[in-house]
Amino acid sequence: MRALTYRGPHRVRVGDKPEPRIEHPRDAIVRVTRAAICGSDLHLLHGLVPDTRVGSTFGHEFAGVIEEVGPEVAGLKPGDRVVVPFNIACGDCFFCRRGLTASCERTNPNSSLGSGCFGYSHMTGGYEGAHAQYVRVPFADVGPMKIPDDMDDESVLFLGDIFPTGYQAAEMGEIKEGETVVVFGAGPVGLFAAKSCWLLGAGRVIVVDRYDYRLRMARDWAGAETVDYEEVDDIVSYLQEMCGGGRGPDVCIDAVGCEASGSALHTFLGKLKIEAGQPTALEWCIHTVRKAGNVSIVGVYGPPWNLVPIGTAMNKGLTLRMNQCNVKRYMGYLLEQIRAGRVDPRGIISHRLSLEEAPRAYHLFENKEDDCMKCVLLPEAA
Amino acid sequence: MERPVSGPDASRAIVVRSSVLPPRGLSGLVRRAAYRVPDHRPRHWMLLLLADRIDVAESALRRPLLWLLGLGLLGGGVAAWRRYRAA
Repeated sequence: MRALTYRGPHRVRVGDKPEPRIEHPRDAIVRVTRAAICGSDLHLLHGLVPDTRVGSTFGHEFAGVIEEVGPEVAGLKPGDRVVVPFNIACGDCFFCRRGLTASCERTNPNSSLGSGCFGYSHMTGGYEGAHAQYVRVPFADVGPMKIPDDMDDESVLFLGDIFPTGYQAAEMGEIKEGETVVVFGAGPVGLFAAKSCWLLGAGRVIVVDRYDYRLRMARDWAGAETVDYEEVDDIVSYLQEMCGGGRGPDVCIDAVGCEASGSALHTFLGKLKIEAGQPTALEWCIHTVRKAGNVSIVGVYGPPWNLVPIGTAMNKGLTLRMNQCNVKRYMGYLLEQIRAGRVDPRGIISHRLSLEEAPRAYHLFENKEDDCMKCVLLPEAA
Repeated sequence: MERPVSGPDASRAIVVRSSVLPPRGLSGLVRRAAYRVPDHRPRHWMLLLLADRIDVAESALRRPLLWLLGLGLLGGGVAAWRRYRAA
């Protein structure tokens, strides 16, 4: 089959690989029809995620058609269309029984940090990703959700990661009716977080970024106010003045993660690998939010450490909540939001390319060229 | 090759795993060493990042080295054949 493979930092190419096969009775093989490139795939591309092996295939946001199922997979059959969560979860361990599928303890033998994931290094189990024509899906009777006949693949594609991640970001902020939320990052997750803030009753949503086209999307697609942090002297003071006359917003969401810009110090330390990337957005969250406010983190950070002003968080009495998204618990609810017309996920897709063009798609997304917001690969067009 | 993580999690039952890209070469040795260190120690992650860089270098060198090996074998074969003919 054709698949994208990692060759080293900043280098990917498309080549031939063996097709996946059923390795466990609860596996399925999915023929990928749509696969998106996630912002966190760029961390892999940049060589920031430990144990990213040359030859591995990225891709954890995908929808497709079941080609083959193992003998113990109930509820799915060849020909079913499915959208698949990025977490690989057993559905029956201590964490899965509590809905915490991102913490499943039976799918990742390589780390105690979280569950197995598709296409996200051997740190998360070494499972192959979906930037390929076919992918092996373990515990196929747990994660994948059948796509209703009246919905197309692109409408539900983002239920596998970024929509639930954005929603969980807003939910972890414990937004109360009418509260003000600042979302750092106008990438796809930030946009879904902003949209989700409205679903959860926010009275005011402000999105911070530095790219005009992304801020325009935040206004037009997510209905948020926007701030370009490069246009103001001090983003923290500016936002605090905007919200409560100096008090600050009730909730801040970090939807950026470890490759933030905006701080020369963090950029310097991050490039030298003295800290794991740049936690600039998180630092701004902690400083910006009002005292006793909530900070929600869904931006991805790698091990082993980052310089974060934890003393400020403690003295301000903040609540910090964070997690990889427990995708499965949100899929049904968010599907209904899409069906009801409250959210149109297709609106953030800026580019559709064949699998053969995947390296170009990574280049566009990485460099934010051609107003690239979200690239979707079409492996069937390979 | 990866051992279960240490501590309370060590007894958990891993039910599925991936069999793709098993460790090999020098990077594989470093990865094996990394996985002998619990992942709450920075050394674990530093060794994995080091192994990643070695993996990239090995991958870049693999093709030229195979060519050199092939050319060496061919040259040796030709030389042996000439010696055989001369004898």
